[in-house]
Amino acid sequence: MGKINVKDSCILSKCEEIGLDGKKWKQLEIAWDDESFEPGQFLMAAGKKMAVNWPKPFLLQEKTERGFHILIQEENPCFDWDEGDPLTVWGICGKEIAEGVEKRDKTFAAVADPAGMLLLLPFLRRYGEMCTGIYIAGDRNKENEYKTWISGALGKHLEERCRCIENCETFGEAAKADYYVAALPLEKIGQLKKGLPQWMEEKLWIFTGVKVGCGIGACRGCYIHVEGEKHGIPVCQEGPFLPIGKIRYKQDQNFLMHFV
Amino acid sequence: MNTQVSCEIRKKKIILKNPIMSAPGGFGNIIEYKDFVDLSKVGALIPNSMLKEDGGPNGINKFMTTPYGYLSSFGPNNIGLATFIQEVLPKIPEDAAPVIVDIKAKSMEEMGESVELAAKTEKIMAVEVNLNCPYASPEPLYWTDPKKLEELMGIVRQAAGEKLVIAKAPGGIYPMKEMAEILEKAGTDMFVPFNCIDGCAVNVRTRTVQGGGFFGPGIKPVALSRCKEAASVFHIPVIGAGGITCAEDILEYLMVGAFAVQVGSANLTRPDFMQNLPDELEKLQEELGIESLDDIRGTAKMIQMNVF
Repeated sequence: MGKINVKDSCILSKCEEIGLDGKKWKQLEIAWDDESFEPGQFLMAAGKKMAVNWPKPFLLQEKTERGFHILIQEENPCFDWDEGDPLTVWGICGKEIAEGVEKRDKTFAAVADPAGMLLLLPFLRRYGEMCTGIYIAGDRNKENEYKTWISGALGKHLEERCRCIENCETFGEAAKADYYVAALPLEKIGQLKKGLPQWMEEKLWIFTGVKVGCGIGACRGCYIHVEGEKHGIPVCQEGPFLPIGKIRYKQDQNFLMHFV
Repeated sequence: MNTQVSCEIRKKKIILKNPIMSAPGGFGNIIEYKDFVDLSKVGALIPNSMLKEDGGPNGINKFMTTPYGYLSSFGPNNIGLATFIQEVLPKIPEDAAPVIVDIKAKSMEEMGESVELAAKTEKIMAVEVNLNCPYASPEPLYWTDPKKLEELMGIVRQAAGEKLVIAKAPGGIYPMKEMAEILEKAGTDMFVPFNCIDGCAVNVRTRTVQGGGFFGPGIKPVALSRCKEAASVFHIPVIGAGGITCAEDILEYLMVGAFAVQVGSANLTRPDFMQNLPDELEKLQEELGIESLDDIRGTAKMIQMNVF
């Protein structure tokens, strides 16, 4: 029934790592037997151990032989999920970033703060060879640490394209590509927008997948204002990455401050 | 086993396939669920609460989960009743369960207009009046003044014509006995005794606080108690609502006197939740030897404590 599957699933395996922001994260492999996906799409997963098991959205990192990988950061209430745990899963939800990128004939540049980098990993893993630069909005003294992390997670070729920027205002000037992807907290988006030439506004896809409730566009928990849409749009269906020019940050700042 | 429930209202027999209704706020605008739930399997369908005119996102965090429930602050964040009738209702499958609309309004006049609009729509079985009215206004809510409540419900009854009128309790505490007298006198057909309780959450990182209505399994004992009280105070059918997550919860509500129940937050834990609930209810009926759900209504006996 329907285009989005709801399935009883489970966690097949896990491994723990340290993220670029120094926080712990887990990579979990979730059993799933069909569907392909594109970077930027996500699934909804709910555990079964709590009294009330609210679902959470998880970006699909990569396909495995038995399902998918997802990442969970230590601040996520689902961080205690473990191998063998049963889950209810539904998806695939949302749209991929910049439709048509799968042709691999366009270049892109990425910008994220250390925490947000996890949200760009699916994209960088899949289309890394088309990436002209990875810009990390962080501490310049840690640039070498960031590069080492990128090398481990994505390979040596991307380490060479990685650099640190302390002020996101310089991103628009520095990055040269056909389009751009970003995962930044609100204050850094403010900096980014300051230095952004207008022509980039439709080419810069920014992560907005903040508070998704049902994942099917029904609960209206993730609706945000966008230009030209009277009722707004559900991030869980149209996002989680949206062109920055569409988002009305002033109107939705109190919603979008809940970043990761 | 018979999962039907029935009651008599204004000398007409009302029969629902089973006592399960979706709750406003927990089942989108119905249509989003058609890929997950056979919409003919439940007793009635209620979309998100609606103002007459379209609203948009409200710019805040609308849905905050907590371990035992969620805080909701949706405001006008939905399509309006007119849009629902024109654009959504025709897309709901013909064999779907009867549709009830929950109406919120910023004034008595707007409530009357919305009810009239719904009353003219054949596909709508009943109107549910949200007594948090005037909605999102600094003015006192009408129910706090018996005369204004009487006036509001008089307008509603007149606008509704022959359509069933359900009154939904305001959030928080309210004087049930006094309200029962006014609502029944005004010709209200059914009553939902629980809406939500006020709550808030603090974001310690941004040092901000946000309020909202608290829903979910954490409030079930409170809502159940309210339902029990309402069943003894009102002479019209009572619809239980609050924290239902399984068939056993439904029987609890029926056994304290509910005619039917509304299921909201559980739909947000998995989108096919309502697909399985009627089967689960039938199985439990069989296990407990309950031939008819009408027979168990209000049968739970109060256990008294020993007073030394």
